[in-house]
Amino acid sequence: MTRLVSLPLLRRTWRAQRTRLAIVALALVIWSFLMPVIFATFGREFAVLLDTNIIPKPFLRLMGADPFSLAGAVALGWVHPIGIGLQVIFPLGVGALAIAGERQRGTLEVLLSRPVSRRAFYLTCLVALVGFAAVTTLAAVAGTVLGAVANGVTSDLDGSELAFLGINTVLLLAAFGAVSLAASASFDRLGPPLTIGIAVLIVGYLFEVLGTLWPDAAFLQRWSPFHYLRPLEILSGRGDTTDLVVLAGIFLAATAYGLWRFPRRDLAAPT
Amino acid sequence: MGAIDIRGLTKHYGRIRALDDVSLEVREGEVFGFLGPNGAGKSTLIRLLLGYLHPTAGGASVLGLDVVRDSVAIRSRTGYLPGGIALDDGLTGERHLDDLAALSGRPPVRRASLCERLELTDRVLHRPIRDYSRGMRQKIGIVQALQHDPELAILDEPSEGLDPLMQRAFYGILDELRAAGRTVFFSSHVLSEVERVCDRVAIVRAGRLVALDDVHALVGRKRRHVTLLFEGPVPALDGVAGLADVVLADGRVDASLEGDPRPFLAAIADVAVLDLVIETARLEDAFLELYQGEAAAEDAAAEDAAAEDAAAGDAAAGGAR
Repeated sequence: MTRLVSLPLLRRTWRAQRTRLAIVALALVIWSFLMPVIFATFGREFAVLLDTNIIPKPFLRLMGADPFSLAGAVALGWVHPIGIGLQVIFPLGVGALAIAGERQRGTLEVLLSRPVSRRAFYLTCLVALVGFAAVTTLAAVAGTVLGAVANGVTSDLDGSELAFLGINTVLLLAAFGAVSLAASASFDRLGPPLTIGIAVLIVGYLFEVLGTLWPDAAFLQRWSPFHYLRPLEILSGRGDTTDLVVLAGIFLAATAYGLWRFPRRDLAAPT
Repeated sequence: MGAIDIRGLTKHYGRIRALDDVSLEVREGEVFGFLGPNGAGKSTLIRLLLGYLHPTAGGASVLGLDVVRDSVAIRSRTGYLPGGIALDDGLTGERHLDDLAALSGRPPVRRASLCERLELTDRVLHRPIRDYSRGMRQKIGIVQALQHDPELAILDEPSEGLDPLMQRAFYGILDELRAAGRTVFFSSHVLSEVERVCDRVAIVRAGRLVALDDVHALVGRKRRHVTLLFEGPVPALDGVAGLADVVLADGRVDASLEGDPRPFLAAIADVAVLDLVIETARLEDAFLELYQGEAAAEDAAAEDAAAEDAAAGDAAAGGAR
């Protein structure tokens, strides 16, 4: 029986990305470390400021409604554009590069001349992407814990809630990665899958922000992948497993499409 | 059973016929040349054999395995050099070869001897591929295709980018493979090298197979120009087998000769020959002759079709009047 995942290909993919992955993971550790620092340094002053109602409520909602509790500060860092940008680099970038990028460079030719089925090739790329998502998420969690330890606020963090947040984040990134990889398997050039991935990211983020700021647009949120990662609720003990199911559904649907599409495609000679 | 058995293989892209009803067999242990100009369908056929493309009609087996159902098993027993190979610029040559050997699942038993023949020293192999010239990349391509000693090597334009010395080294490698009983399927448009290394050739034109034969037989069928200078009586050349287009003038005969020259030599045995030149038959000439013949036949068919259309149009117009 043909193996589902090619270990040599997996090793090759990890080796090719290890430096970039280390840089992104380090950046995420630093970014997540800052959130408990901000909470410990400015939390009380800002809580007083909030009591004056000087910040409009829609903006407060956008910032997680409770930005200056530890949970609120961590949640704010988690869904901040910088945090999201660092997290989605690998699912979107490497997902798009994995097949369409290799195809555009012409290197897919040689790889597929080996006894690796296209399904195994696809699944190997997917496993690598999920692995990258796990590493970047772990880095973010580690940064948060380190920041909490450094500032003596660990008692405000709950291990099981952090684990829930980690799983939810990995699932969100895996969903992005699966969509990007499915697009990558459908095109011969890098441009279209990158565009599709970035479009999903931007539109999803806009839907979530619009729905948060403007109650009449709240219906848009359900169409955003970001709506199914709610760090503040999770860190406040109100995490919803339905969110995990939805993200897993997106991941599985995109994977099913990619596994159907890639083996059926004609791979004409590169031009 | 042949190493490659192709039966009515057809590949269409919409209305474009990239390959049309091609049937051929490549025998085990032979070096088989697949000839045609760019765009004739050579790469399409190779890609169908290796599962990159799905056939529109027909089928093929490689090493007894079906190209659609058993593509992975086929690739575990073959080596492939794509035309204009692209390699990962960031890796060293050695890393690249190691990765591809690992993906093949077979130890690179031939790598050392291949690298030695192609002058790929350790120093060269430890450099990143981005520093390689085109010829060095091609050498890495040849090594990656053959290092695991495949039963069948499929090589698309293998000598492209190699200097003459390395081309000669590569031909030596092919001779070794042949001696070891390996099969080589070899696509090229360099006719001299096909003539030099191949046992049999197939010629493809616009997706259709136009010739399939032993290289020597194909060359032997080529009409060669003959020039004979003589003294004395005019030789009797009427009815000599293979001789045509005979022109006699002032102690000189010009003619074209096809196939075995012995009947012609027998006919001039008693002639006082001053000089005799029988042009060497080359695959290149045979190829061009075949191509020109096919093109003329296609043009004639197109003209006939146009004439029939015109006649049908006139008849219809006459009927309407």
